[in-house]
Amino acid sequence: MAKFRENLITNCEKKFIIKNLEDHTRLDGRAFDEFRELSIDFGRDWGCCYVSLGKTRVLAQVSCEIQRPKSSRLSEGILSINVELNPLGASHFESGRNSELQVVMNRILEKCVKDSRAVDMESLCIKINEKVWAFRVDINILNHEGNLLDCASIALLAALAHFRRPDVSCDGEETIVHSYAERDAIRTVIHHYPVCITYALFKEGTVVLADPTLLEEGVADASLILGINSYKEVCTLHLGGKALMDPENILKCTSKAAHRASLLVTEIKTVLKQDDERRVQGQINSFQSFKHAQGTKSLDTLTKYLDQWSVQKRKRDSKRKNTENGTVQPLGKGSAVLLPVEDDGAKSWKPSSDENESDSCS
Amino acid sequence: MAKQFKSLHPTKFYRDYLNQDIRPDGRLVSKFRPVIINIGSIATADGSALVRIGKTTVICGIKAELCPPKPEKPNEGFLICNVELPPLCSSKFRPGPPSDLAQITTRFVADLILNSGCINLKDLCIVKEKLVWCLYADIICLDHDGCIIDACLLVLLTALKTVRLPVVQYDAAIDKKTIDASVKKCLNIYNTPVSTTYAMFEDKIITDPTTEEEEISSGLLTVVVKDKELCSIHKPGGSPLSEEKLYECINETVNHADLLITLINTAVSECNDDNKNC
Repeated sequence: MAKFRENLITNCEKKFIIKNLEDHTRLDGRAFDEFRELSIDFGRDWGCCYVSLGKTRVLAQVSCEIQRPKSSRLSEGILSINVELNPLGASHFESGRNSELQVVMNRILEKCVKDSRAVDMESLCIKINEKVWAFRVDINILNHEGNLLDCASIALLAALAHFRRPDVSCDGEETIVHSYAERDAIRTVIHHYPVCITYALFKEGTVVLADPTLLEEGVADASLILGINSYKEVCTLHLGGKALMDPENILKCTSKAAHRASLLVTEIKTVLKQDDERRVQGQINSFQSFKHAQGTKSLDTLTKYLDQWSVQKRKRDSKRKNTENGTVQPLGKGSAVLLPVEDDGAKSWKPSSDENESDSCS
Repeated sequence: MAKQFKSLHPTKFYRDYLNQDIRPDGRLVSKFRPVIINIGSIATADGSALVRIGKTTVICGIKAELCPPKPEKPNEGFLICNVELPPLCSSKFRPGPPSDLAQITTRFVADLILNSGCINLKDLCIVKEKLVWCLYADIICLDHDGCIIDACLLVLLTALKTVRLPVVQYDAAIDKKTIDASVKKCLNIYNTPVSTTYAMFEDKIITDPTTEEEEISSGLLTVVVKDKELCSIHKPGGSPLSEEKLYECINETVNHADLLITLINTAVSECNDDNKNC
């Protein structure tokens, strides 16, 4: 398979972007602290969340199973976060291989959500030292247009908040897992919602761009990633790249990020509430925004094509002869052979010596 | 001449043959290759079989181990399949991590065994929450000449039918296992899913293709049936297929499945007879 290389950014592009920044303009016309449009959507299943931030798209899915707890934390559940980068997102991503970006993203998300104790892990315990719930969040990158981390962290939180695990009851020694139909599913307890907010730094940290695009990320000297919850508490701070930044600037970014974080958390909560209301009314329409999106028209035409797609009749549809006859012969010592019956018709044919030779050579 | 013509114009070469309703190896378009089954081929395994479909040869060994069950399913054992396509079987494969084809085949066969319900994993439970059997089924291809899924499924089913597990007594209070190797019991096999592969070449459907035919074809189709019922269809991409042709393929598979099941049973009973004689 051909290996794709990451798109290189030419010097002209770099200069152009930096020159524009000096004039206080961004290529997509946003202000420096303006974010791209965000939409959050839920699927039919619990814990399936689709987030798009501009053209960056991420799909998160939570799944759970019962496991033995870790020996270091006997009364706590397990939460594992798994970022998946496949060629669908960007052609240079390789599937099934741990790239540096994937490891970094995984770790930052873990620091942000797991290490800040956002999810109540003790409530996931079924029986101490024996059975706990293990949650696994798979984050799939569907399109990479810059600022993957913000998008992924929103998807992660929304999916976790949307997910419900099946109810469990203990009957003496036995643990019974009730299906969703049997008993109401249980929500995950989330203490606070920490979201990642990325800033791209230019010109030794003097120019700060919120929500950088892919091109801006490539040109930037460094990136500042802040994990902040709605109570203005910093959960993670990650400064990657090569730029010096004075503390004053960092504090300024932090207060801006805190404002953004509280907006995001409100957004997540509203969308969750809307989804709940829809489910109560019995309409479980997955991926609402897809239906209202610009793609509706093309989808309709596609359905039309599919409706009219009929079985193509082939001209020479000669009936296949049924030659399913065969004989089974035992050979002894646990062996048997199935031989197809030779047709004694005119078609009976033996390869000539010439073809035999070619067969053996090929 | 034929050799040179074939390497220069492989598609034309096959088209010329197929227009005469015959294939370069002398088979008719809808003809199967002979199938040979040998069971108990590996004496050290708990169950084993070898299958040849034409030149395609696969061998399967099943090893049973005792282990604790998953907390989620405390009364179910495990069946772990693994298909290996080593460089030995064809020059297409390189040493190293399993190829895509090997992974796809492993997954397909494992899913099929679980979904068809041919074995009940609860039968593998010895003591609930404490001890279950874990069956490792290793399928190794010795020669790859097409229809690898058919061969793998056939060999796995045959090997499962030969599995003999010793009786285990487990004392939970003192955590002691007593294995009685003198009494061995068979595994219950509830049904036998068997599959047939077809290759699409222009407007023709070729039954039981060889590697050459698989490579030249525009798409492959694997139909799996059990007890005259359709069990699964696997069509990884390729050219579209008309509904009637699909039905024809399914009917053909159903007929062929009977023969294959008789074949497995004959081989198994042969083995049992031998054991009695000993």
